[in-house]
Amino acid sequence: MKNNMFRRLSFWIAGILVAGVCLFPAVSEAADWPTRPIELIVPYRAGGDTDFHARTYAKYLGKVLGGTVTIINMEGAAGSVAMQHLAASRPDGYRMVFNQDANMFTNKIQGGSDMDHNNFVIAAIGVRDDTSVLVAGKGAGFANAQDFLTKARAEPGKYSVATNIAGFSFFVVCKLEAFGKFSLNPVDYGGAAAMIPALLGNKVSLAVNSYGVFKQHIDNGDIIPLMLCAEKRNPNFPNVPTVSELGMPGAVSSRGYFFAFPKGTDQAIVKKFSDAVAAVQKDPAYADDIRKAYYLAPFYRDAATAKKYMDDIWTDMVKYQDAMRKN
Amino acid sequence: MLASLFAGSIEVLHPMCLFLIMTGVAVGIVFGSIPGLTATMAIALFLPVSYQFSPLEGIALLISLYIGGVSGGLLSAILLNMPGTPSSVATCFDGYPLTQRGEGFKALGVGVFFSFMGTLISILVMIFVAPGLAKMALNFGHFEYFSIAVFALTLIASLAGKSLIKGLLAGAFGMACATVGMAPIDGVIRFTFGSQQLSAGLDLLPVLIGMFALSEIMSSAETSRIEDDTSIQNIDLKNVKGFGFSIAEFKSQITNMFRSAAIGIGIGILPGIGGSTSNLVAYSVAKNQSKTPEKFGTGIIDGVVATETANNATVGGAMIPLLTLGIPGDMTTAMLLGGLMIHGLTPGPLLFVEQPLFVSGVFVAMILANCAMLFQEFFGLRFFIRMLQTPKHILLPIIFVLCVVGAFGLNSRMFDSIIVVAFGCVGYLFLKLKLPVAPFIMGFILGPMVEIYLRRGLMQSKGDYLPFLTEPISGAFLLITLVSVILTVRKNIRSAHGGAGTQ
Repeated sequence: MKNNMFRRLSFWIAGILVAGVCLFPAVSEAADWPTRPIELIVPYRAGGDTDFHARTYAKYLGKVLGGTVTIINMEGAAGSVAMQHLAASRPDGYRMVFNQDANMFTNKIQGGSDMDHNNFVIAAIGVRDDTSVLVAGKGAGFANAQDFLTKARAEPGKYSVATNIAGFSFFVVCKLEAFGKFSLNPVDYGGAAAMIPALLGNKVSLAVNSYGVFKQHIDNGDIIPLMLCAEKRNPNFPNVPTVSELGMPGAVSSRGYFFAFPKGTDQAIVKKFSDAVAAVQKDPAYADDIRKAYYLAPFYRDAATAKKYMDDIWTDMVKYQDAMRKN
Repeated sequence: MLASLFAGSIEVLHPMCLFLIMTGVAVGIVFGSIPGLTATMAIALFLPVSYQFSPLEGIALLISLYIGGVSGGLLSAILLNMPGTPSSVATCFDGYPLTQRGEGFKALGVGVFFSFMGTLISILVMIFVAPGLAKMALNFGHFEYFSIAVFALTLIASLAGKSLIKGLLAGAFGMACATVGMAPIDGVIRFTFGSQQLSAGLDLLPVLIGMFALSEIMSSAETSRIEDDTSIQNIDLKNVKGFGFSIAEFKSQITNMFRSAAIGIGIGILPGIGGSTSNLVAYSVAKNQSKTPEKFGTGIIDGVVATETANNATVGGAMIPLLTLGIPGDMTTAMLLGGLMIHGLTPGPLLFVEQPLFVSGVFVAMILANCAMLFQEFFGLRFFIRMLQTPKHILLPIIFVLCVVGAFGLNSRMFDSIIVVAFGCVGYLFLKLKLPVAPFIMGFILGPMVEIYLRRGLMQSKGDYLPFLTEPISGAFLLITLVSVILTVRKNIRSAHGGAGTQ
């Protein structure tokens, strides 16, 4: 009898608990979030620029959110394995992806994946890299940007440019060609690791990547920066002219790094995370970290404006889809 | 140089730094010796930890993990016939037969000692001639990489074992498996049957763990009830001294050692090729150069010397372009690069000018880590043997779990664990059909390299095939390839005729 009562009691307690959890999950989860470590998935191997930015964020976000942000590297299929994984994850706020807009869009344009930002809740744009430069090897024989433009326009297709066909830098090349009215011979080199030796060894005349990647070799005089694909000169390397100054203002391009949650994630959690990103942006130590590594300045778009930001990038990229599919 | 090395050692010789080196090497050895856990994974795990320390301490920790991890793979390769890391695949070929003969201690001693020598030679080369070597590597472009990869493919013939046909079949199957997923450059989807997971292709490590470790577990399971397994137990520990080999044996290996070290360093310097290739190449070159190639694979120390010298020499080799040009040669050095950048240090030509103390500190830390590796593995030999003397029905299930978990940990994908099991079955089938596994791995690693460099080369030349022949280095490698193929074919025709004559 006693045993029976105990059973009945525990049944009711369990029932009430289950009902409570079912009825008020959003309230309790969002208010307490995060109560356990947040997985931040980087869709590439450790050691690259995306990994760097994610890890730098993890360092500061942990403090702001009062929890741990764990970096998980999940590479494959130019980033779409991680995006697919996120799309199939529970929208509980404990799993997100940190990726580059241009890489995701290139993947879609070239047919590798059908996902884009509309498949996710974009919590924030946390980094913008507007330091893409067109550089030349010392042996290529270009004195400056004007000299390059004259020579490249005179002989279309003569000069080879090292790029990553499956990534942002190829888009930058397509844009430069369209607005600069010249044509180059794009050669796939994957990432910076292979571009630099190719420039130094005169295997290729030109290359496109972020300025920071080439910095040491530029300071050394082995690589010559020709033009910066931004509207204004960068205060960290003020000697490099912009595409706007060279009469091709349309050739400006930048890549954004976004934080994505699965669709259906509680808006309160998204807001809380987005605010945390904004708080990190204001930390001078963070600004110092990204300036030292890649010459970037803090850049932030909140959840509300991130979609518009990415829509614009997509509209711009899709214009070049024929050129980007050519290879 | 020596003065700056002295200054560098003052930086490193702090209790904290020494402690990190000792710990790093120990953890590296453990990760290296367990199939499924690798040096790369150890570094990935410790990357966030390294941020807590000063740049030099952090990088000393990561480098120690790297050195310990690459060497640790020999333990399970020799004692269990399972490569602990991709770098020690070829160590199994002669190491395990030695163990089966009861000479496991000698095989381990040789492996540990020549690991040390390989790392040491490569570090010395790195310290004294790094900039020159890095400049030389700049002459290698797409055409040259293509030709090297094609040449390395012909080495399949010397890894084929008894039947060349079976070797070629296995190699071709390896190349076929490597085409699954997104094609290089344009990302065309191939052989994925609509699976999003397969579009990422098959990763080397899960395939390798499956083919070697899991298939070995399966075949052990098959015989465990039939025969009394004593292969590890019969290692005699009573009458062994030092490393278990004589000075005369050391002398006989000096040429082999330097040749293998040169191969390891050379492959380490070239970005994109790493320890997983260098041990196989060094093994097949040692076999081709040997007066008694037929003894390879039956348990001679030459094979162990070649692979363990070469894979460890790759460490120093890979550090050369990283430090002098800021270019990572493989996945592991890419992580080291990430570790340095978080500390606000960018490796490259200016690092030597701006941070000479840091650079020489790294050199000293590498030498210390190498010594720590030698001592820990030497004094640990008896312990490792005891650990692996655990009855196989207890040991192998543990390793099985670690293999599957390790494959997951590598890229956080459940799919990779499934691949381990799938390729475990393929590997078991290989064993049953007596197909050699090494050519499969060679084909799997080199096939995609041949493809990507061919296509990139053709982009460079705008579709012209001629530069592959007319570029001097590329042309030379293709010529060597041709000679190598002709020699192999001739040898096989002759032995076929000879065989027919004696029967």
